[in-house]
Amino acid sequence: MKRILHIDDEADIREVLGAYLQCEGYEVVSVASPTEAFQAIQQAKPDLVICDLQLDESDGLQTIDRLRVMLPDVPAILLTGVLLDPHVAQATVQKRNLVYLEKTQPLQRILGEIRRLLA
Amino acid sequence: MKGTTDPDPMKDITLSRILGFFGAIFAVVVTVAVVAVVNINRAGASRDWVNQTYATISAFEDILATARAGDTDTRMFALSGDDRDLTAAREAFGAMDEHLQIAEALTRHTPAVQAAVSEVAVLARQRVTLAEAVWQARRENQPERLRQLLADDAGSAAISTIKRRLEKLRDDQFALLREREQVAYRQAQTTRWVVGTGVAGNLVLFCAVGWLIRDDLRTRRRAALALEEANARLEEKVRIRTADLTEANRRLSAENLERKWAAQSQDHQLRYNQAIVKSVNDLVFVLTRTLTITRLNPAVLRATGREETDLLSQPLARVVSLPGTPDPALSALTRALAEGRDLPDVQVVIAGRPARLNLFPLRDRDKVVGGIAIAQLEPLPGPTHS
Repeated sequence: MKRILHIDDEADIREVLGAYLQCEGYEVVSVASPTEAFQAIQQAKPDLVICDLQLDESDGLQTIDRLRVMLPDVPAILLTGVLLDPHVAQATVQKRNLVYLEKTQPLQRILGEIRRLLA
Repeated sequence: MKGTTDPDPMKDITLSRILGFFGAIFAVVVTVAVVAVVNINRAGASRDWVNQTYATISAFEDILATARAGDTDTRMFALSGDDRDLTAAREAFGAMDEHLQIAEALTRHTPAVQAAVSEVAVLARQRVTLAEAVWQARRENQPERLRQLLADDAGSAAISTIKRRLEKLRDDQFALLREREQVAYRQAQTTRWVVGTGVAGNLVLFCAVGWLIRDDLRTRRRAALALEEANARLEEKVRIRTADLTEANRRLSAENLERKWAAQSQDHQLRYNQAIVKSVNDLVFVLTRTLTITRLNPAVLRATGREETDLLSQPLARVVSLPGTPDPALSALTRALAEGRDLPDVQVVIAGRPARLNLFPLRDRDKVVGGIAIAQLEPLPGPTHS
């Protein structure tokens, strides 16, 4: 079973996305902050990281950069409720080898992207 | 659905049949046993009769033998005068008498034979009487009388008669023996047939019981197999139905989560947008096409010093006025919205302070449903330094 690390400071988002992915057969480790994320990957290495852009302690881009040091080959999705300019977003994620998804996307679309990355 | 469990009718029928067969087997065994016991009893009786008949024949032969021996010893005594011959003659006739009594006793259940034996006994005792006369004549030394007695006896056929009659009696007994033997043989054959037939019949009945049990077991095996198959089909249906329900449940959960996700996303967007609007220092009014205030940002409350409830649903003219123009209805703004055009950089007065207002039509799918008015207060004049 593939393990997904989900970082989001909003409990409702963690709950809904976690439940959905578990329904689809993934093991989901949901944490609220980058600190908890680092603790989690000490215990078990994830196969995929999903990170919110706006976090309490830091932002998603910085968190993913720090995680990449420990998990260089693990794919990552930047999930945000802030609607960025598509061109700006594309340029940002391409530089970091990320997948950018908006929270306004349906869960099915997010799942499709996860499946593609874990295939 | 029945409230109680019915007994298995197949089992009842089979049980009744098996009990019936065992009843028949028992009846055959009892019949064979009865016939065998009867024939064994008959054989016992027949054996007793045969023994008695042989004893009778033996007695007849002994009568003849002792009678002859008595005669011979009497003649020897007549010739020799030896007492030993006399003693032997007496013993022989004594034995003959005993044999006669035995024969009479053995034939007491057959009067005709007994009568014949009695006739032989009369003749035999006549021989004894003659012998006693000879013994007396010899002892008294009367040769003439002795000669006369012996001469008379030589011409008589007494011994021959006794012999003939005893042989006749013996032959009759042998004939009866043969007859009895035939009867006994037939009885033995009958017994053999009855036992054989009983054994064969019981074998057939046992085979029938075995067949019945085998048939019953086969039927039960088929029923069990059919039940097993029905259960398997039912389990398969249940499995498919459960899988369908599980899938439907998963789909419903996913749809539910999808709806929650969408709601949260919208809520997040709304809060985010509101946060943006609230953080703007410009005065933002959301208006209907008739310039009624439907929403505003905290900057308006700060600038006017009023509560939100005082301003919502009120005309924009309550807060905004056009300087030097008798147009309390702000008809220029209304007209701009009606025409769906922007109205930039309008000089207005808000809470007694001059401001610059930009009006933008609010469109929903190309239809103007209201307007957004954004006003920037003119900076207050700085403190005068002397």
